[in-house]
Amino acid sequence: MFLLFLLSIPTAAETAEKVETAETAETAEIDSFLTDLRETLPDAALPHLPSDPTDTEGLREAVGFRYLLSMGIEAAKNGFSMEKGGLARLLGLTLLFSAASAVGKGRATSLFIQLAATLSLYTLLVGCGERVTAFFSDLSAFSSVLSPLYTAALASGGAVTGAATAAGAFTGFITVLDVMATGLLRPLLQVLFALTLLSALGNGGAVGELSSRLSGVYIFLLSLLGVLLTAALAFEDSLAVAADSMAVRTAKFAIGNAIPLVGGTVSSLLGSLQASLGLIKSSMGAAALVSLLAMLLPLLCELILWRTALSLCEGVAGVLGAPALGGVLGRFRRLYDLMLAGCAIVSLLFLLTVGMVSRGVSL
Amino acid sequence: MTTGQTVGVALLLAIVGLVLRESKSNLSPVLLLLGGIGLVTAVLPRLSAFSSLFSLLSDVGLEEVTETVAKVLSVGFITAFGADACAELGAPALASKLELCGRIEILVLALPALTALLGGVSSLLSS
Repeated sequence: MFLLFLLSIPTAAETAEKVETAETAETAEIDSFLTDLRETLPDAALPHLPSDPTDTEGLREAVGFRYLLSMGIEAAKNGFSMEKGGLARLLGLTLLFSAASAVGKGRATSLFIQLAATLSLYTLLVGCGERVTAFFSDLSAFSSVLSPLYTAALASGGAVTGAATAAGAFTGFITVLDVMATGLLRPLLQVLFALTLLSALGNGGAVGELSSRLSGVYIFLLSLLGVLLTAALAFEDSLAVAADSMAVRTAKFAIGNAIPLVGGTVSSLLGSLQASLGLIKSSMGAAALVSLLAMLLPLLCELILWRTALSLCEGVAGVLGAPALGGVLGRFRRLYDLMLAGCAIVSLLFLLTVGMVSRGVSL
Repeated sequence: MTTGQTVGVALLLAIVGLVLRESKSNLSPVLLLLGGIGLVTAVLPRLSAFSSLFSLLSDVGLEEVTETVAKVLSVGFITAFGADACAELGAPALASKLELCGRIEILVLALPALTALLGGVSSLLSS
């Protein structure tokens, strides 16, 4: 009986072989996760990430402050060189319409000048609104492909509740993004653009009042959605952390005590898997951050450049004695403020979601 | 013609017109009108200085807008000048009709822009 028991105990060599096989399988799984992750990233993010998905050092460098700063400067430079023609056009329009306002006589002429200025600015700037909506759609699509990867990674590491939380968090974020992109932001931006256009037909005061009220509603809804999503994420996260850490501690304790000889190996393997899960989660977090920046920075630079140019031209119109033109420019500038606020809040919510999910369970 | 010369000629014409009016001559308004036309015609060549601004605006893709604005400003100037002349010649009713003609002309010139604007509003609100 004792002999049989002794024979049933694996030898040290067998145990080492099992551990090695398990480690090889685990490494293959991590590589597969990271390769899948790389394939889901937007094209713009790939040049900023190391070609080897398991290169953690390169990944750490890619999310370092210096690299992110240089990425921002590069995006600003590219944005400026791309928008140079458009900015010159905007300044040219301002000078032309300011000069026309200064020399033009009569109500018909000044109304025409306001109309032509609004139409020209709209033609010049409407593309930016479309790019903001496209950014929201891209981010929503990226979150949709990121969600199953996170869920699978967390579930394979034993963090079942964490996986459910990740899925829930991403679903919540995607829902908020869809509400903003299709149900809230796009229609509101369209109505605001339309009101800005209509204000050129003369009744700028009443239309301006309506625009500012709508802008207030838009900002309020953005803030409300942000607060609600943050609260929901925090609640789900705290529940998941407690549940998963308790479950894994119980599993470790049970394995370690019930099988005294091989239990230590299994228990250490579980710990090693948790460490790998940390690597996967941090890699995913870093890749998500770089992807967000690669998608956001060019758009952000474009919006900031145009907003600054509009503000500058508003000042030029004021100096040249064309208050009506200054009003038109001011209305377009306020639209840019709203688009900037929308992009900033959505990006913050995305980072918050990824950050909370990446933090995962504290074991 | 420099600004000084323009002011000088205008003052001279005004004095001659005053003298003619004192002598009950009907030539006074005609002289003033012709003098005004002469002054404006003499100053018009100086507008060629704007060609560099127009070429600069054309370089940044604003030739169409610039052309329309220039047309509208020209119509505005010409009708205002004509209406003033009619009023000076003692025909205020004709002056107001001329102003109306100018407004209609400006509306016709602004029609493509107006159509595009309303089309933009319509497409924004219907999509």
